[in-house]
Amino acid sequence: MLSLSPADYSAIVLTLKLAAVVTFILIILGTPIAYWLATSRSRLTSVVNALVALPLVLPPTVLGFYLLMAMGPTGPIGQLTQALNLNGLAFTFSGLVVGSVFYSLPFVVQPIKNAILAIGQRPLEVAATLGASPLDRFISIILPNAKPGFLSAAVLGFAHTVGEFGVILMIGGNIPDQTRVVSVQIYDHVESLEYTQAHQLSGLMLIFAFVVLLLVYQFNRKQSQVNHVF
Amino acid sequence: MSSDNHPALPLSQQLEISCQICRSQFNLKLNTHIPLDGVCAIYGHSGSGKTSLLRTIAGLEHHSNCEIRFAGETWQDKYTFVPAHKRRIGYVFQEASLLEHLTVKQNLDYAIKRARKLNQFSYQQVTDLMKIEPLLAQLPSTLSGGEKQRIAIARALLSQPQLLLMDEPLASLDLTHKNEILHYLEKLKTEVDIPIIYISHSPDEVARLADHLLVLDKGRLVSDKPINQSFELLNTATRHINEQAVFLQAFVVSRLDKWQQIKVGLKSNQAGSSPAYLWLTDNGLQPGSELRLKILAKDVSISLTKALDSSIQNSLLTEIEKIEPLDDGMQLITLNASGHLIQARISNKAVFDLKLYAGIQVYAQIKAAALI
Repeated sequence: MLSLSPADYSAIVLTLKLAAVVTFILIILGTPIAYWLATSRSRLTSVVNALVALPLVLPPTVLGFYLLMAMGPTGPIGQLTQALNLNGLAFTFSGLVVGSVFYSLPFVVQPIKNAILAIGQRPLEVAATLGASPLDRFISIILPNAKPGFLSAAVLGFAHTVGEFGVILMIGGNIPDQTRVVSVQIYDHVESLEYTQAHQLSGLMLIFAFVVLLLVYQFNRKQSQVNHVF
Repeated sequence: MSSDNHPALPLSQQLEISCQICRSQFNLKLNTHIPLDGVCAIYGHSGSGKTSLLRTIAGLEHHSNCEIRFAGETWQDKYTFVPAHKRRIGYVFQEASLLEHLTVKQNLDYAIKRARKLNQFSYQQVTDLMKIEPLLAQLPSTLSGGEKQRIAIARALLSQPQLLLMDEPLASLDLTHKNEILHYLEKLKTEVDIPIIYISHSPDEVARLADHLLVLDKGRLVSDKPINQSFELLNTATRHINEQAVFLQAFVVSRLDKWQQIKVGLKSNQAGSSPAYLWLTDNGLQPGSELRLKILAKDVSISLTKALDSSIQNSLLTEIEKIEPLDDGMQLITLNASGHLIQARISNKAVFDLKLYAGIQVYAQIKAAALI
């Protein structure tokens, strides 16, 4: 029934690889940001909150445009890569990773932050009076209690990266096996009036997105039942 | 107030506090030395700053104008702030504070794993004391408020603290569980050798548990004395909650096993007072042992002659010291029973009919005296 071309397969593999790498980086990067946003009383939190949420409201082209400028030979990221004797990031897989990390950041930070906020101060204070250091408190109190938040964050970060288009087109272009992800591939198909192929990939994306969201909501529902059963 | 109150105690047995905390509700200013021996109660109404003070001692709140030294070791001053997890304290919060994602056993293990390197309290001793063996496998969400608080106390002890801080541990419990936990706290006090700072706004709890009493009012320290010099203050405190009562110290004189009664003599600080005796329900105490009593003013009635045909056994000859009107058509009468002050709550009409006035002799009939 499905008759995907090798180019389609390569786009799917590339998309999954991108989403996996980005999700991994986002969990590592997003956790301390979320923890800080949830616990700090600094005035800077509103600034950082706004910055993290920017990709939600900005057109992806704007984000992509600025990232492209930054990665160019005269931009700060470009200069840095040059100074380190690395290749430029624009139109490479690494460039896509950097762009996607910015683009999907709110989808990872928000659920983790909310999960940490839901724990409240009290269990952390209890742990402190029992002799637990800040790191110990993070591992023994926050991680186990915020597990659903981390899971939501990972799933949403992954799914959102799979679904991205504008940023990728701006900074990645359309290079097979390098930057041509599924969404770009669909765009290509439509451009060349290959509607059957476009249908197949679009259908796959639709099902994927629906199943992912279904799982997240199912899981959250179960979780809240567990919390309220007593 | 300053260290003058405990000149005999060396620095190693004191908690030195010098604190200034500004909040919208109160402005706490305090400078005192708390004896690290037995139970020190900090009494005050809500909004008097007592919880903030306790949290500051614990290191859960950081206020810049505070200095705290525990047994000569600086916990906080201008340059130092020892974080809560490095202070050797146990903290029992007002509401149950068990780690909900862990079982009772795991909650205890959480404390044991991170315990200070002292072994004052063994696992067996603590679980026996708080009777928690049957609860070990349960999750906190399946426990009653009283059980949760027992486990919270056990957990605090198992972290091997050198100072136990308790923030109104009974306030969120109903009456049955309150009495249950009070019983455990009394056992804790007699069987475990650890200084306790106990915050409360209940005169009953304070009278029952405390050895030393600090009273805070709107952020000021208004009294800082051993409990046996603080009863009068507690009597006044009961008036604010419209449950006038007097607290008395007493000792068991003899037992009457046949009627399951004990005879207690009232203690007095006043010189030249002759003893007054009361009969109480036997509670198993042996002659010579000390106890604290609470007599509610509403449980005391007045009779002009000694009523020989009354079921009330405890009748003391007293002199009326003063009569004060209360808000609700009642009068509060202070009676002096040869040096011991008792209060009676009598209606305006009765005062008028019996023609009571200060200076006359009447019999105080005490319906009930609660052991506390």
